[in-house]
Amino acid sequence: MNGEPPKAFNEQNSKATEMAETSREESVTESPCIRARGVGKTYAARSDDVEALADVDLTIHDQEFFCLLGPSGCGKSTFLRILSGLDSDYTGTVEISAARADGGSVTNMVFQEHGIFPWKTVLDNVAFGLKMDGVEKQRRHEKARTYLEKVDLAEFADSYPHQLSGGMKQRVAIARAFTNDPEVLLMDEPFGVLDAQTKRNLQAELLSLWSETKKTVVYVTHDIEEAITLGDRLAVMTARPGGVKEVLDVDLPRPRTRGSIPTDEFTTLRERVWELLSDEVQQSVER
Amino acid sequence: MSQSRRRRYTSPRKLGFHVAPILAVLLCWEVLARLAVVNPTFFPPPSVVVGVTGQLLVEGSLAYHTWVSLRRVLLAFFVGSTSGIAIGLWMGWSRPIRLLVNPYVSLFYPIPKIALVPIMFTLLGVTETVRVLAMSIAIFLLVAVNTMGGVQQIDDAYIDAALDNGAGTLALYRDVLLPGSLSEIFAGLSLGLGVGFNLIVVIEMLAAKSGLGYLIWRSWRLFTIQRMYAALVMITLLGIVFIYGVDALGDRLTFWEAE
Repeated sequence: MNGEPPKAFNEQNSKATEMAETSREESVTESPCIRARGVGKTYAARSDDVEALADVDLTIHDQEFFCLLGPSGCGKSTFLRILSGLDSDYTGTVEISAARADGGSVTNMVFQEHGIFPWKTVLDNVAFGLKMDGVEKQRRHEKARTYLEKVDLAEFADSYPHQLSGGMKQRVAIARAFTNDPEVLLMDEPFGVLDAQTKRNLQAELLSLWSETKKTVVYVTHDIEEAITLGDRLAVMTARPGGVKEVLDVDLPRPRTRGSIPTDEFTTLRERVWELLSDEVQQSVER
Repeated sequence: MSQSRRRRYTSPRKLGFHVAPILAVLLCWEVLARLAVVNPTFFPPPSVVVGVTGQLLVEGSLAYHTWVSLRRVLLAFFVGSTSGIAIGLWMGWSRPIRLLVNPYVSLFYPIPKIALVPIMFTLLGVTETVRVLAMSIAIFLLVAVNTMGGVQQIDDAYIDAALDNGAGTLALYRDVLLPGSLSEIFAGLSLGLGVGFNLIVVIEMLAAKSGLGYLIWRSWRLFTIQRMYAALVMITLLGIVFIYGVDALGDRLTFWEAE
């Protein structure tokens, strides 16, 4: 075990800032943002050690929307926790570029549920990361309000999460992540428990925020259509121990709204992904 | 999660449902005592008890004993609950601290604390400090155990979210562990107060020259039964105000769990 927290490498930094000025089309280049090499993770259990991840090699580009797709229990959430630094007990190396000059965090996570605090108002939830960074109250609330407006929750700033629907709560979580302004957004099935309609709306909101802010996104999901709708590229993971089976480009035009996605290409890709995935799902069911 | 435990005394109608049965019993008692079906020497009619209570309060002796008991309970409650919350949070979060402290807590938790009072008197003398300390320990144990359990049941996602957003140790305690375990903390405080009131009465009966417990015991021995009831009324009132007051405060502060 030589687990180390993700390292930052600086040489990409100036380049990344420059590119942020240019347009979206040009900026999606091959400059790496996250490099994972031979990442493995084993959970020590009483009877038998469980190998959750084995030898994950993955390069995620700067400002890319990257989806991790895999059967349940394949370790995709584990991989995300390693990227976030919440789990530092792993083998292999993870490097994340773009160390922050302003001391803000490099990554920020959006959780499936329970990521926002029921005892804090919506506004305080959204401003929480900035508070932890020592940003003074007025400034952090100002910034939080900006993003609350972007996710259409401005009038709920003083409400508490229990007064909101599931979809609204996840919008609060997303607003917080964007307010923190990290280099990399890590999203762990953020819409997994929502109904189809709400999910679709939130996907659209997320895409629009993403194209505005040009963040690198690593998005974990088990929903093939979601991965294709959102991602620039997607990685299909193997059943436990999780590894990368194949990385696919999603060559669909953006902005991707309902109706704007070419049906044939979408279907072809979906079938291809399903084929890759079905073996793995079969395996994880049989085990 | 804890809906069944939740009491809401907000609407007057509901309050009526709680008070009416009690009033009915008191009324029966009044009638039976007046008709001398029960011996009014031992069971003086409630109206007489109320009169005597008021008279003794004005006269000052009852007010004095009430104040003495109240001060002891408040002191013990303050010491026991602050230390209990602090240690409970720490035990809940830190595994080493839990391993270090929990054996002692587990050992003392089930012992009826009153049984330890003679040892404490032996060690520290029959002093006010011991009277308060004995209660503090009982309250401490209940609050610490409940708080620890409260911290351990906090959803990991809240803790992950806090850490991922850059929370340091202090912020983690203040913004997540404390509010996340608040309803268990208040359950512990409420239980602790219950035990505290029990203990104060017994300790004052055994080893004090003041306080409501002392007054109850002495009045019984001197056969001044009405005084005994007056003291009983006061300890009941204190118990109701504090225990239900803490419950109500807890419900208010953990408003998000009511839904």
